Amino acid sequence: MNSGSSSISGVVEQEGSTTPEKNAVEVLDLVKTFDNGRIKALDGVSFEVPKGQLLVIIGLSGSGKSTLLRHLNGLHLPTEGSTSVLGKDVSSLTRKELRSLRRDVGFVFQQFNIVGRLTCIENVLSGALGRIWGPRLSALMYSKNMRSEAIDQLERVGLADKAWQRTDTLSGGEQQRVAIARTLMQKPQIVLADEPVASLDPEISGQVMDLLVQCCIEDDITVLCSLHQVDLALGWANRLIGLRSGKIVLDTPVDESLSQDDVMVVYQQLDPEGDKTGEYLETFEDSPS
Amino acid sequence: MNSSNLGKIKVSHPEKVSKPWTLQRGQIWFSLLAIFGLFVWSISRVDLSVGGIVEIFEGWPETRNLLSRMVPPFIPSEDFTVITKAALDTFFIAFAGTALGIVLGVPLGLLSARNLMPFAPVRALARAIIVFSRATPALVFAICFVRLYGIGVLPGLLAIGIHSIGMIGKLITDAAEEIDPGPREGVVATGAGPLQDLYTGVWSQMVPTVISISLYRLEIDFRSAPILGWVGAGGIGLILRGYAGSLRYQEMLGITILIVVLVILLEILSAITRHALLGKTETKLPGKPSKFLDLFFGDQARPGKKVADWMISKSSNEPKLKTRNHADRTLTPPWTRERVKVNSVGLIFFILLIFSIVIPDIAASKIVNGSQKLPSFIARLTPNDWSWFTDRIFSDMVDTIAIGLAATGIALLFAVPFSFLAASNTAPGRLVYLISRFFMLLVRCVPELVVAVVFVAAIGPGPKTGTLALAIGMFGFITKLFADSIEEARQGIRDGVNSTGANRLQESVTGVLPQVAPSMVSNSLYLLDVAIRSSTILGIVGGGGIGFLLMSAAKRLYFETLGGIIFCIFVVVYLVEIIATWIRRKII
Repeated sequence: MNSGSSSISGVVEQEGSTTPEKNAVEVLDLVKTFDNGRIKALDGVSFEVPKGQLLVIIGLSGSGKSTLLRHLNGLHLPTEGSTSVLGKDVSSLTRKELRSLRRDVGFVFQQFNIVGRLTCIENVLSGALGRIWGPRLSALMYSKNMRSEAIDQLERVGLADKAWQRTDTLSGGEQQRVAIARTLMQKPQIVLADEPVASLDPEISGQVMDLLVQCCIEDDITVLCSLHQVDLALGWANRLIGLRSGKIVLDTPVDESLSQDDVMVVYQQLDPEGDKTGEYLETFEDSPS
Repeated sequence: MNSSNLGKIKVSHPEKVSKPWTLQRGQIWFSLLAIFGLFVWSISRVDLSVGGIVEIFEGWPETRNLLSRMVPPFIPSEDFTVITKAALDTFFIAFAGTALGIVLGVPLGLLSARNLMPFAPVRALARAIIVFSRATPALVFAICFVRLYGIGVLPGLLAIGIHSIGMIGKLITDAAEEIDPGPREGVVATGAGPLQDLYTGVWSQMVPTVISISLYRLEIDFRSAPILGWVGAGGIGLILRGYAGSLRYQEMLGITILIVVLVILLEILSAITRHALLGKTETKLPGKPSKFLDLFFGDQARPGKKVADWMISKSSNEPKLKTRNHADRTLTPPWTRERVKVNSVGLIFFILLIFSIVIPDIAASKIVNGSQKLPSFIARLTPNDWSWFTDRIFSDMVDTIAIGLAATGIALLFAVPFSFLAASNTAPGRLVYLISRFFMLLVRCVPELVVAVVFVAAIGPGPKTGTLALAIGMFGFITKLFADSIEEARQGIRDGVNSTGANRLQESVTGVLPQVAPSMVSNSLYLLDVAIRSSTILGIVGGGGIGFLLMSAAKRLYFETLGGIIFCIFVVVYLVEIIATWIRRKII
């Protein structure tokens, strides 16, 4: 399980990053409490994510995955500790600076968070709002180049022919692909994906994850993705962080040498009660070896 | 055997066979009893108890005589051009007035929404304007504006517009506070600014609701505009008043029927528009799997394998995902049927709006002159002391409340059973349903003030007449709401009751009524709200209540009295709204 560390550093070297900071994200002793301290969502979390890494954060519901991700684009502010994204301390940014950071940090939501009554292209175009000034009421108010760019992005997720359809006429998987296209339209350096496939069925989940990760690799985007299924996490990550009750209980590289026993260890670290171990074992054995 | 078992249960669990008394249940019963008591009191106050009804029948020969002077209804041909112009003016008043209400009401509504406007003082100010224009009837605004801008179309247009702000603003606030925060978050996460968030994240979600609210308001304004002319605010009401004043009853009924026909036509126009714009709103739920192009269907997860492959293929500079030729893509939205329809409806409305402003020939100088006088006018309306508050005003205010209560009670008495006949799922037969629906829609299209004009002519002025006229208007209003909510009742629960062998009446009472009761109570309280609002102005046409003093104060230029009465109306309407909201919250 420890043998994989070289592959991560190898990836980073391949990227040949041009900017001075080596890490896309640095989290130091992050604590977040809600409800006047009664609920502790994050309890002293620290980690660094080098540029170009595909990090998957796993954990059961309520383990603090979403809270952690939402700190990285300023949707939450830390109670204690600090988060630094692309070399900027998120909690010290002004509103304007935060907006400019958000332009570089894409977010993919579990519930897609697209506007159903707008066409796909309008939703994708809204990803470019951070680059332009002023509000836009319809697709025709964006420049021709931008519209063309938006269709390029829809093409990448295989939906170019549905560009002018209302988004709510699409299936769930397709809607999430529109949301991914919107995020790509932003030209982000980092993509945060909060349970991007939790509301999709397993088969579609695999396809959407493929698409998300493949596009991000193509565009040199660092990915931080939270998932609650270990099997999904293993397929689309080169590093795995496990959260339990707001604490990191696991931090491991992922490669082909990871054995089934290792996976069981991963699972038990997340779920000390082991309630779902049997269930999990089944799904793992189903997959082709 | 059975009965003895039941008897045993009763004896052994005496505490469980009746519903326990809770504070909430007590409050509900107290409110309902209080309302019932008020209803009984109001019936006697407006003289519609047994004695009063007998009086109506005793006066029947005279009433019949007056009614017979109204038939056949007649529209004099020599006045044809005047009437046509007045009818058109009425249309323009309603149309441009509603447009004004939308232009002012939508921003105010957004400003008073908690999730859009973080500064509480701004919200409070916007909400205060909304509450004031909602609580003051359009006819009251019309009376004031006639004093300011002179007789004509302009005061009518402004009155409709200012009064419409209230309802539009309130509904927009509700709609804005109910939008899904998810898409907003999605937009904000891309680094969009506040205005961009407002348009893309908020407004684009609200568009169908805004269209729906606007059309609903337009229908209401089409019904209230015809009477505005009665106080000099332009349109067909002025002609109605002329005929009523000179006792030309045949012509009066003719104009009344013309008004009803116009309202029906406009209602149909609005229904068609609604269907064209909002007909296809049912959408597929997200998360539903569909047939999927197997474009990106990869092999099953194996730790790290796929990712490593992709990284290698990227580093070896293999071409990216294939993209199609740029020439064959459309960068403008295609002209689908849907888009053609929406755009043409928009264009028609825009042209109508231009007509509504240009044709009535509103002089800009009039607007400027009148608006300059506005501050001093408001100052003159503000009373210095309480000398205007006479016993007569107090007793007329009480009458006004009694009329509203009694009309609500009478309307409900007839509406509850009738709505079951006018709902497709509970009507005893298709024919009964169609006839009931048609009757209901017909009644809905008759403005209650126009009914009051005819009733005053036939029975004579007074609270009794006003109550009866208002009850008819309220019946039309509430039956539709009731029938629609009955049609939404779930069939499954009714099947459950039916499967016990219940008959139609039992099934309606046990299977349907409990389902629709909350919405019925809520709608009834809303009805009370509307009825009290209407009852304040019935007196203007002779229907009893405060309206008479309001009108005479305006005529005799007793500005302090006028302002005082407007204040009283505002207080009463606002209090009723607060009480109604309180009860509604307790019950639902």
